[in-house]
Amino acid sequence: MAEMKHIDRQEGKKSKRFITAGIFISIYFVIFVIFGSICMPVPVLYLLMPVLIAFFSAPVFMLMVAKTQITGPIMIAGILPGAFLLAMGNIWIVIVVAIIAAVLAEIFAALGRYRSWGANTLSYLAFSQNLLGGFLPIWIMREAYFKSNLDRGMSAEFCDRVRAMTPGWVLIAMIAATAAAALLGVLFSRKLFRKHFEKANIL
Amino acid sequence: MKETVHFDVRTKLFLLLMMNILLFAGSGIPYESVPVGFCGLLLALSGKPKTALKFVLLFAAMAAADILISGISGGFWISLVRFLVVILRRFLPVFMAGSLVFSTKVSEFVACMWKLHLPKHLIISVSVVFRFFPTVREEWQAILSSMQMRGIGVSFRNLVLHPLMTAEYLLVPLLLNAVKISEELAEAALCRGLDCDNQHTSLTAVKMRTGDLAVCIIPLIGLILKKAIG
Repeated sequence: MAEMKHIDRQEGKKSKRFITAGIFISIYFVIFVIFGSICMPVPVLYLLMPVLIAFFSAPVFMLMVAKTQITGPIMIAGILPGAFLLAMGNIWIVIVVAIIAAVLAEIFAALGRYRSWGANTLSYLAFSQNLLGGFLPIWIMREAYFKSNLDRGMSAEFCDRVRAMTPGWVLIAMIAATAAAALLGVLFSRKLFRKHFEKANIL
Repeated sequence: MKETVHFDVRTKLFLLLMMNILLFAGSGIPYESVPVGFCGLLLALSGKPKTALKFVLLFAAMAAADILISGISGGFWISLVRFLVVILRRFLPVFMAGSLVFSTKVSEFVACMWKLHLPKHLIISVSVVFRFFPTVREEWQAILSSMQMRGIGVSFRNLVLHPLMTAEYLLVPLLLNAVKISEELAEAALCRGLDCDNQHTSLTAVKMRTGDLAVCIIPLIGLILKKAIG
């Protein structure tokens, strides 16, 4: 009997942590939606969207991990924007990429038992790539379109010019820039932790 | 607008999946008009005739633009416009299914997640996420107005000149509040038995009806027909 009560209390604590996680995920989501709606309509900003989000949501992510220290929230936080984009009309790749990034992030954070800054930083680097799937169609849909239109009399010259406008290295540059922004974001959140959160005694 | 037929969340999600598959199954204006028409009908049936009409008109405009432009030969920029129009047009059915998914109420979505026997903690987190949005907005407004009073308001100038400072002023109170609210909310939710292991009851009935079945089968038949005829 005493044993069972103990387990129940553990369960209650777990649920509490998931509620806390839900609130941080909500804030992360709001940041994602704000930057998404600012960046979507402008072509160059559009490619910068994951970079900006990676930087500004770093404190939210770090505080969430610090407050919950449990398996699950990182995965939920990483996959939810992917599911949202999927429902908005993106193709399925978006969710596959989000799942890969989120699971990797969860594994990295778990390796440090959610307490090590190094592991959490690595985790956030993986996590912040979760929006990449939204951009892959630029490359994938293009080839599909070319294939179906080349035999209908589209000039090969046009294909080459469009390819030249969005070369493959843009994708690699995006991944690198997102990772760099995530790293800077972690440094920024470390400063915030020292300056505010530790003093406010909320950790 | 009142909805004529109520579709289950699962049906809507399945429809979204099917539209994704159909997107890659073929192309061309006659082929694409079928899913657009089908989704338009569903949107109209579930009480969103205006949205349906908007999408169908958009499709018609894009199809017309495509035909008109393909008459003109040459010019790189004209080809580029056509390329973008065609790609967006192909995505229209997916956008339509998406807007059908977004017409779902939060309570129905949460009830559906319980019904699907998803992990309890996942449901707890996700339902908190949805319920917390209005609170985030309130907090956000309060922080913005108190920043305004102190003369450090969020303006385009401040965002460009001092992005880090602005982010700090916004994020720190938001996160500190979030920690406090999360504790209160957790107590309240646990008192109401959120993590109870017994089956949860809900005011919203989640049930598959005949209409749902039809919506699931028709796109499947369409896909098979497309594959058979080619």
